[in-house]
Amino acid sequence: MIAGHFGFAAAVKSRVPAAPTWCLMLASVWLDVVFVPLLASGVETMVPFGGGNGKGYGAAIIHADWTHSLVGALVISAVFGIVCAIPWGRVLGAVMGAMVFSHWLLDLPMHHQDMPILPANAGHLPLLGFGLWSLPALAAVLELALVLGGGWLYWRAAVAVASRGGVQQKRANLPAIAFVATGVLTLALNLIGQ
Amino acid sequence: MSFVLGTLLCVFLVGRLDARLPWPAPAAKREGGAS
Repeated sequence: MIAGHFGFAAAVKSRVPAAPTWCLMLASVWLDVVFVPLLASGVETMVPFGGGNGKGYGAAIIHADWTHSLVGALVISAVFGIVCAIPWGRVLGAVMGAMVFSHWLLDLPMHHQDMPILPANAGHLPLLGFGLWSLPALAAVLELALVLGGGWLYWRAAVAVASRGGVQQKRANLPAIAFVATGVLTLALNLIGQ
Repeated sequence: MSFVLGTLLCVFLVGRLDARLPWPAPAAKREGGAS
């Protein structure tokens, strides 16, 4: 899941308008941002699931044993939140930390059973993940619902703040349209394995 | 590619367009401005 995380970030923006949108968006995928260099260096890996080449939507077992372990995600979220609290205060720091951890919570129903509890899968405890990616059409519809729902909540909040501030509604429409277009494009690319 | 493109567009394009709206400033900045 990628686009769905952005959808949730847009929904949070509508509830916490003082939270910088760019940072909410970044926070929503921060676990994956940290995952990328670990994947490139071989510390975390992906292997094909279900006999394919592992390139399709949800078609891989993701051994993100550090970044997507429950405890690892909590630590990364806490660090992100603390860094954000320095310029923006405790409340927004907590919001940003929670935003980062929401990634793990939203990944939980989607992932195949590949999310450890402890970093590096220490202790070989049971792996988590409810496997909705095994039903890609349903998973994609849910992700699209997050994008559209988040976009709609964001647009409503943006129109309200533009109206209060005496700003043209066009300025509220533009980021909402850009967000939904980006979310749909991201989901479409993800679906075709790009 | 979807991850990189989506992240760049959401953070930079949406973030930039969004910044043109009069959202309330983050709390710490408001406190700083009042003092």
